[in-house]
Amino acid sequence: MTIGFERRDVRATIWILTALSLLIVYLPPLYLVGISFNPSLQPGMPSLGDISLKWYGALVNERGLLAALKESLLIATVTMVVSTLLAIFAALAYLELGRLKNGWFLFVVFPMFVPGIIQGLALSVILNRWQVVPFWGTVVMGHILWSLPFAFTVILTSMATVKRSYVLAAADLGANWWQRTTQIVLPLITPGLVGGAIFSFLLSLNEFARSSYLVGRQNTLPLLMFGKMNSGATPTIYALSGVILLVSILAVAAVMYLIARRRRALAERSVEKA
Amino acid sequence: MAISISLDNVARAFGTVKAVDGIDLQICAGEFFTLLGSSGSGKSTLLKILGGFEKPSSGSVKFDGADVTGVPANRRPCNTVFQDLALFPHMTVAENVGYGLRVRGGNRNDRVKRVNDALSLVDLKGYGERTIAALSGGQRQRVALARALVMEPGILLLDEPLTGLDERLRQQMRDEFGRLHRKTGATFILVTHNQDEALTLSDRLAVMHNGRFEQVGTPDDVLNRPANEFVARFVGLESIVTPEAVRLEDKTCHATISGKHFSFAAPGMTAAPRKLAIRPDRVTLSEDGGIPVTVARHHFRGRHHELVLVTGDGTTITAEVPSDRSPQSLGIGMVATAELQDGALIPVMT
Repeated sequence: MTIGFERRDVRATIWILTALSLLIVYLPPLYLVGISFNPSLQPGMPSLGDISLKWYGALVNERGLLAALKESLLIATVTMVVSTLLAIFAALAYLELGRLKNGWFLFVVFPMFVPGIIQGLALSVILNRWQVVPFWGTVVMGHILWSLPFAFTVILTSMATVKRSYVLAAADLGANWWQRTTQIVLPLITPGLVGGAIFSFLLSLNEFARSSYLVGRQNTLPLLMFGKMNSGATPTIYALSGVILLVSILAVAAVMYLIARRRRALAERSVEKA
Repeated sequence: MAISISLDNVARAFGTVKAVDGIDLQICAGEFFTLLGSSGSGKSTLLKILGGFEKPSSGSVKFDGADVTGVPANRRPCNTVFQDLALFPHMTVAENVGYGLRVRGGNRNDRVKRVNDALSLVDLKGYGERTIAALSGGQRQRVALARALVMEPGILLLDEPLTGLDERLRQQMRDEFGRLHRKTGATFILVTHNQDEALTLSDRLAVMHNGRFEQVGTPDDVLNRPANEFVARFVGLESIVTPEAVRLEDKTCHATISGKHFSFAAPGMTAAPRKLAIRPDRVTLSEDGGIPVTVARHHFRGRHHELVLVTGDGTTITAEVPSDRSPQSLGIGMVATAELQDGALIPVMT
């Protein structure tokens, strides 16, 4: 009985489909990076001789773009820290809750299903009523509502590796709640914490709908870029996209390298004396 | 220092299900006590109540006379070896064993020394730096034991710790428990569904069923004087017969089974038993002279053949015949007579 994966034609089909999907996913952003090296004002792939860093140089003078980037990074960082912390507590609560588990899960995850334009509008109406002047903090509020469900789900998934008996055993050996949490639970869910944090950061950095209602005087990057595209794109936007893409790829590569190194160290430690 | 335990009318209900149903029990300091029962008998719940992981719905738990009913697990002077061992996967062997000492605090060098002592106690000297994933099943078992014993608990709770080990390892670890019990002198409470473990290790044991104790006594009590049919069956006495007549005379019990007369010494017995259990290894087959039987089923069990025999009145008797007897002569439908050797009959009181 075979499933067919060893057949030549089946394998070829799978490879072609894989290559096709990768192209669809990665070609557009790569094209964007490509045109960012074209010195002409008209977007298009540069010929090899024309490659230039002109627009990257021009980036430094784009005060508005840089200010928006700074604002977005600030908002994303605060969102990441707060969402991850809240998600940890929400997941710990889930671990302790008995019959209320499912209700709690739905309660935390629900904002994921509220359309951004409605959530943003609702929040801005209430903040307006309380006479809160919009600033980066109001955007953070909207972004936490958006990213918390995702961070919570990611952390909850890694909680599955924490057997209830680990916590009981720690208690049996004298550990109180705080020691059980910091010495047993958190170290075991570290991969989930990292994943949840990255997720929150990226969701916030990308967010448009909620930001558009809650933003103060300083635009976030997605809002600014959208505005610029509407009023005729300048190629500096392509350059900025190139930088962000490159930094994202490097960041993911760094995280994967660190995880691989840690895994290798663990494996070596266990083989050492065996 | 070993600690004595006293349970007073302890009960635990989950909804309408009574997992533990009013248990009274005294366990002496330093005793090896076993809770024997099948799954769902409430033995694990009772162990959790002792460990402080589960609060009784009513009743009280006392350690050395002091009430600990409301004391949480992390402040009780007892340690547990869990069924799934619950070794922390992100820590080395030494970190696992030393975790309790680390929580307790104190001198670092002293802690290292005690961890090493505990590892030597379970024959794992030099394994401290390994990860849990690099250990075999038996070694993990020992780490779990060392992690509990390093705390020098007054009470050690063992929750089915031998489940999932292969037979040879099982026997090895079983002997290990006996050795560690003598060496540490702590009160050991073992929960198991395996009667061999219970009978070989315990000073006393309790046979548990539906949240209650069917019998509490020494292995000899349970094996040779089972309180009732349930206990008799649980310790492997499957053939239970109701004799046509029983009477007690001069410390000797006389019984008639399928028309044959048997008698056995019954010192200390005050009333004639209603039923008798027949030990399968004390039944032999012969051409004539015993109870006439027909072989109804035949199983090869390695060292012996297990035969299910049916008497004329429909009573079944199980017999274990040594496997050196050729199987051809033990065919189904064979007619023979069953003779009961000395010690074959065991009184079942109720």
